[in-house]
Amino acid sequence: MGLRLRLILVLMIPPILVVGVYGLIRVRTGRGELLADTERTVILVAKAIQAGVERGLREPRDADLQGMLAEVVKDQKQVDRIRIFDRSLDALFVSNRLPGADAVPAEVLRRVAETGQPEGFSSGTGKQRLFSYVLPIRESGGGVVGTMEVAHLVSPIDERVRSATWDIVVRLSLLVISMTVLTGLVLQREVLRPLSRLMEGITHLGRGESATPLPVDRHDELGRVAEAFNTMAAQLQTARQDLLRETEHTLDLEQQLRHSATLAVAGRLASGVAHEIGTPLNIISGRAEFILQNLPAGDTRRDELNVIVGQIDRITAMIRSLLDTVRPVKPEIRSVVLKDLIDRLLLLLEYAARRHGVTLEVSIPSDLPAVRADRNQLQQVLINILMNAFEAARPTGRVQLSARRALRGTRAGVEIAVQDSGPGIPAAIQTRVFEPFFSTKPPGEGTGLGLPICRDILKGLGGEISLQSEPGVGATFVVWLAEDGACEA
Amino acid sequence: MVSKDSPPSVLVIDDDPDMRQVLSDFLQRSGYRVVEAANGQEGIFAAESEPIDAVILDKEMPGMNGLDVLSFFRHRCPRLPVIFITAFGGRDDEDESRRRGAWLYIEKPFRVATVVEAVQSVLEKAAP
Repeated sequence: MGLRLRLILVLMIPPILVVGVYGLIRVRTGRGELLADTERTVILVAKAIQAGVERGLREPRDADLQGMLAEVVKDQKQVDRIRIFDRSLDALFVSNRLPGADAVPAEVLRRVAETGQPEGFSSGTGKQRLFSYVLPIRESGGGVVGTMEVAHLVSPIDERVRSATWDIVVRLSLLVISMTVLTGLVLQREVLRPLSRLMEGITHLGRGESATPLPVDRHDELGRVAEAFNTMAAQLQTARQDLLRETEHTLDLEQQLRHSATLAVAGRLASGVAHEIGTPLNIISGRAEFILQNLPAGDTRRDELNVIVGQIDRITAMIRSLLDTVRPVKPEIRSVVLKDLIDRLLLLLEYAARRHGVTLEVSIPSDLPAVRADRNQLQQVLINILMNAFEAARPTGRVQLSARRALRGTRAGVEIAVQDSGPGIPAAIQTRVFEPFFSTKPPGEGTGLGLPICRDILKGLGGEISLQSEPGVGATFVVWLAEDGACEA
Repeated sequence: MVSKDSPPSVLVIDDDPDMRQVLSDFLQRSGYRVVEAANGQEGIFAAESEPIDAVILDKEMPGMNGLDVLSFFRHRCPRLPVIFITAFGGRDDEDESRRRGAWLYIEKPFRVATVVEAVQSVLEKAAP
């Protein structure tokens, strides 16, 4: 049974019972009072008529008496028939006939004649129910010479009672219908609709979706429920996001662990191999150098030997970079003020920019918060990115180094952007620039390890590096590092 | 300083004969007397049995390695300049060798001329 039906029944039954029973009782008592009133009136009128009849008998003018009685019946509402009987119960006068109620009440008449006491009684059925009052008619000597019956039809009273009952039934029905409709409407508007919104919200939440906040536009219990629901939904949302973040963090940690485990293995392998290679390489270059020293200047073989030495240098540089990537580094993370770091690098950077023919514009606000980083590593990252930018922007371009506060999720931090006016990086290879050994520089110039090392360093520092580039417009590398909470900017 | 009548002696301790040969050729050409040792024990023996002015010591050797030899020299002859070399050693090796008293640290592969210059510079520093 739904809430609506139950509420309607609970609300309807008591008033219906009360109003119905009360109405019926009222009708019943009303009927009794009405009957008693009518009977009293009938008796009074009957007594007056009796007096008139007795006077008429003493001064006999029969014709007048009959006329008077006929007139009484006609005029008096309470009198519907008058009959006069002699002692042998023969009718002396009958004002009119009432079909179905014309039987002679012999017993009553006889008793009244004998005792001289008037008596009332009811007779007849249906629409011809009668109240009759029988009185003795006395002669001047006091002896009873006959009886008189004054009758009144009481059926109209029943008629009125019936219509009053109907009236009650109709009013009650109207009440029930209107209250049902009203209750239904109010219930729908005030309870069921907010409830169904709440249900919808709960279903959404249950499915793991974010629930639309319920309108809190009322100050009653449902308003408070909506408010509580909204609070709960918000808390759930926060909890879910926290969980998600934590999961991501855990996954990230796991990945980092796996990555560092791989790196550690790779590092041991690489160190071993590199060590084995180091000596032979040195012997080759040493021998070449030795022969070079023995050859006179201008000897064409010198060029070939120089190639050998140069190529050994190249292999050496490559292996050193490789080892830098795979060797486990223990960053010394502390509070680093970016402006100080860059101010110290500025001479070197400006020199490098000039050498490439590039204009370097630096704008580091002095009120930037300090970041959490390893000074040397951060320096390595910045130099790496800036050198790439100089190379991209040469021979006459511009490189902008800027920094600003920036949030990553809820973490406060600093964003360092290096923007060059170079040719930009094609979309197809933008994701590959952070891959080891991927290089766009001419063979021999880049190891393809600079940016992967930067990315690994930043990962170790809890930071990020990203690239935005529009071919033809230039490239921007953005480094983000977390703000150092313990240190004032 | 290098004098003509008694050229400074440089002890080269490296297990690789070709490497020793390369260093030896360059040093001799630059006027040094070269003593070669193929492992740590030989190196220590050579340093104890004849006058040595500088040592070029490789890290990776079978048996007693370069770091052990370095510790030995530090105790027995603390004024003897030692140039420590290792193939792609990295910062850890450099720090460790300096902790044990190496005067200079050079990574293989190096330009041989660099080592000759290094020998010259440590000898100048060690000269009374």
